[in-house]
Amino acid sequence: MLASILAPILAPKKAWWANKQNQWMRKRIAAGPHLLGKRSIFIMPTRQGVYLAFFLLAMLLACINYNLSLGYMLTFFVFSVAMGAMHRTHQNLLGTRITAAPSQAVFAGASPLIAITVENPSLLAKYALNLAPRGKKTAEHSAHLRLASNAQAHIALSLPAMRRGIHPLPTLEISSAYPLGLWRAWSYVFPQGSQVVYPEPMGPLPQLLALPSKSEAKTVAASSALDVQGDAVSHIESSETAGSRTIYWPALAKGQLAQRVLENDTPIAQGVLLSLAGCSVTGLEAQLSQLCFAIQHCASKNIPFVLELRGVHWPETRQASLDAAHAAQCLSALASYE
Amino acid sequence: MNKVNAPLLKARLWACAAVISALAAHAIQGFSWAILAGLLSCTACALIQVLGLLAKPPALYFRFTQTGWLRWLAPIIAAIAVGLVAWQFRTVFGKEVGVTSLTILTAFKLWEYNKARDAQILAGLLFFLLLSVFLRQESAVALLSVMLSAVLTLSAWVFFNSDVVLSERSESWAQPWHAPLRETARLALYGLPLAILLFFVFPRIAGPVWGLPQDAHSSKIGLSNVMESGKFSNLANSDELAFRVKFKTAAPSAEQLYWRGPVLSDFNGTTWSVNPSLAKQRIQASANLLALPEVMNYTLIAEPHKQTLRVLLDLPLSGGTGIELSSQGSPVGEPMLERETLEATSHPNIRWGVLRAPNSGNMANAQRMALQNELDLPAGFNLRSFQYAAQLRQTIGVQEADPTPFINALLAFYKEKFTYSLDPPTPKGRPQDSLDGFLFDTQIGYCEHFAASFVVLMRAMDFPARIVTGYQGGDLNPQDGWMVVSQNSAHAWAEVLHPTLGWLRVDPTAAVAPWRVQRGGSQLQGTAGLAPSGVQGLIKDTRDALLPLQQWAAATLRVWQDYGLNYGKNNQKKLFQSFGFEGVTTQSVASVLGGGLGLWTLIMLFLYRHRAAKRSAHAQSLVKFDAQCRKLKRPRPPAQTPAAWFEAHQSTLKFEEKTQLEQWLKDYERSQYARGA
Repeated sequence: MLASILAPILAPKKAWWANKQNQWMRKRIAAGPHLLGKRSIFIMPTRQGVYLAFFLLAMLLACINYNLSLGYMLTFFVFSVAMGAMHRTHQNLLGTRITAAPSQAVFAGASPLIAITVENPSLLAKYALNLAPRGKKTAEHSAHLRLASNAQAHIALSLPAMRRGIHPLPTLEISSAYPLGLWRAWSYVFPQGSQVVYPEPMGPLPQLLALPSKSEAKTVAASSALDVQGDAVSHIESSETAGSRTIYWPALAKGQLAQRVLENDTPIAQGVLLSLAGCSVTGLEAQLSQLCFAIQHCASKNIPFVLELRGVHWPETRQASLDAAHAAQCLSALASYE
Repeated sequence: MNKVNAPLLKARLWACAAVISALAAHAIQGFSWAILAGLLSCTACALIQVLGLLAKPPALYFRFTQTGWLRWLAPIIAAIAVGLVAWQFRTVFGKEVGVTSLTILTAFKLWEYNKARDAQILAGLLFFLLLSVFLRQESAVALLSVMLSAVLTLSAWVFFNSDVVLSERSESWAQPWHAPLRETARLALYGLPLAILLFFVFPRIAGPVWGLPQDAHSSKIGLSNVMESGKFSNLANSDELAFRVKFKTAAPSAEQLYWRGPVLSDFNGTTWSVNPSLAKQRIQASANLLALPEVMNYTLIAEPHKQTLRVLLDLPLSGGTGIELSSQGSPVGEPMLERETLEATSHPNIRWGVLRAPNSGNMANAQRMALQNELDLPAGFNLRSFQYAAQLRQTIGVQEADPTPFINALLAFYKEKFTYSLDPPTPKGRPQDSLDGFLFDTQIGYCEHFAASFVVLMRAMDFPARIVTGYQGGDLNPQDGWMVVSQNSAHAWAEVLHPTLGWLRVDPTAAVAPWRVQRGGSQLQGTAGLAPSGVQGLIKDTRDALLPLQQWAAATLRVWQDYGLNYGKNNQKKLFQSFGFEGVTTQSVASVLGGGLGLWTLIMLFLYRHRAAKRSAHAQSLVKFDAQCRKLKRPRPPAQTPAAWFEAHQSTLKFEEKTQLEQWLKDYERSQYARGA
């Protein structure tokens, strides 16, 4: 009840506080690969630690009540070990070096994998380290590891799925509750680089308009002069009725002709043009997904393609290509399209 | 499907070991069926884990771990066991019930040991179980066993946190099995100074914070205001410390070492007890008495027994502050919750209760009225004793007012007919007639029987008599000058009222077993059995040869008792004062605790940070290489290996730089694969 009343009041404060905290943290922790120093490690008791405090309090009361002199010894011994464990937990993170490499692009809906190298240049082994994106401590997005002295581990940490776009890499949290789980020491890693998330590939296949072969292009270029003044739409309709080929009218407007290719058609040497206009679905995201699907389709069927978005073409030469780098470029273009 | 989680099974084995060690710590103090049940549970659990860890776990293992209803077996058995405990003690509250239930619950918690929370709960239960060992007994052995078990408990916990938390997709290397033990040993070693500091400095509070169950102090044995059959033989088997004394004046002889406790004058046929009205009246020694030349001044440090009774050398004149003398000459005070130091004065030859010469019959009657409590006997029982008393009265003189001849006759009777044994046979017949049985049938017994029967006979002859309980004897340690009196020196003797001499101390036990009085009770255990005299001589020789060693040990024991076992409010105050503080004040505690904690933290920071910051030779050499690169104004990017950097730059390096770096690269590669890098 109270929480529900306070929540809207506190929400802006919470954001403000998180922001302040972030600023403070970033001041202490360098971006990019860094060695965990004592200034960048934070430590707090865990829930188990709080429980143990209550256990110890109960033990102390029992000692007072029953006048157990040696009971005091046991109680204080456990307390001291718990206090010593605080230093040990802190030590367990100290001197660890973490490098997070910018990860590979993924399609929306999939979990991006970030490559992390954890090195332990110190003489002591590091136990029960836990790596996870900050604030996301689910099992599938965290990795546990243990490092011998002078060893290093390479981990592919799966990040939570993201929306289409180019995102800064999320802050990572490295933590450990070793040896007793009473204290949790943690530090943050601010990886450099960004995460490219392609649209989620989703069918159906958009219209694949065949690019004209060089000879065809010439004849169409001649006829297009007429069509610019004539009724382009009727032209398309008439073409549709005539057969399987149709004129790609926006291209036509720019003095170019592309033709639709049916799915069952054999690959066309000169390639196809992909653009938003060819999409059969509505809504930008869905259309981008469709284009993404088309790029995948072309890549798997070895159909060279050209991508056109808002008049910008990939590749710029407008020469259809099957190059993997070209495909990646096109997908990145889809990812960053706004 | 048939896959085992090896780290979890190993963690359970560790937990089994911890529980077994805690049960063992309890078993040292006394075995019970709950401990047996716990041990069985642990063994079964451990066996199942071992089965699972086999290269090819048998089908039985999977049958047990995967069958649903079998998992309910352990909780059901535990619930039944706890029910049995409640039934055994007829209650669910109290110390014994609590400890027994805790034993069972801890042992059966092993069957639910899967998550970090389970590990935490088990550790908590184990710490409580270990604490309860001290409820049974506080001793060095108990402390040692508890500490060992605590280390095992912590090791099991460390193992859980280092291995089990690693999931299947985790990166790990196998650590040696003793790694958690080493980790715990280091934690314990580093924590111990703080624990000891807290032990001494944390302010001790005397007394219970809340009401305790009735059986809270049942384990403390000692004297009480009631004497029931068999009580003294229990005490005789205990070498627990009762009190220590240091004489400021010359120490009394062995025959004078009677330590006076409660005087028991009420007898109901089976039980002797303190007369409440007589115990309430107070007497006080005059200054004249205290100034007598033969008085003995001494310091007595008594162990706490939660009772109002006190024990001082017979006959006490003063017990120091807070101690009063009852009309029967017994010292009393407040319930003793803590060890107490008494500055006391006694006189060996003074007797209370000298009767005024009976000027008139009325006066004599009034005196008799006042002494009625010391003459009463339950009617209709111990008829043979009455008969014997009447016979003795007839023989010596019916009108004789002086009890001395009767005392002597009785002592001769005891000396002639009776045998001393701590394990006497029980006389047949009604319990109220047991004294008859003892006097005329079995004739074997110890102080309790001799004193009781003597008092009954004296009363039957119309002489006021009563039982005095306390201790007899004491072992003087020449190393530190302290005399130690243990529970096995507990004793009971008789007092008979002499019209002109007052209450005379008569010890019939001394007539039967003079050595008992000369040597005190501490050597009873060896002689009470039926060992042949040759063996006894051998024991004695060995004892004498080891005497100096024993005495040193005793002196050490005293320090251990003062600053370990019985470290309480008073000793803490003394300790603080010896360091120049006024006492245990907020200021002194805060300063010592603050300073100590600060120092400890600094040392911890050094120990842990220093070790963590220390890099391996391999890492150190890389740091040096990078420094060299920076010096050459060509820093190595993080992504480039040293070898790659060298490859890229070697053509532009000077010859000396090149050879130096080449050598370094070789060393670097070697250190990578070196042992203990």
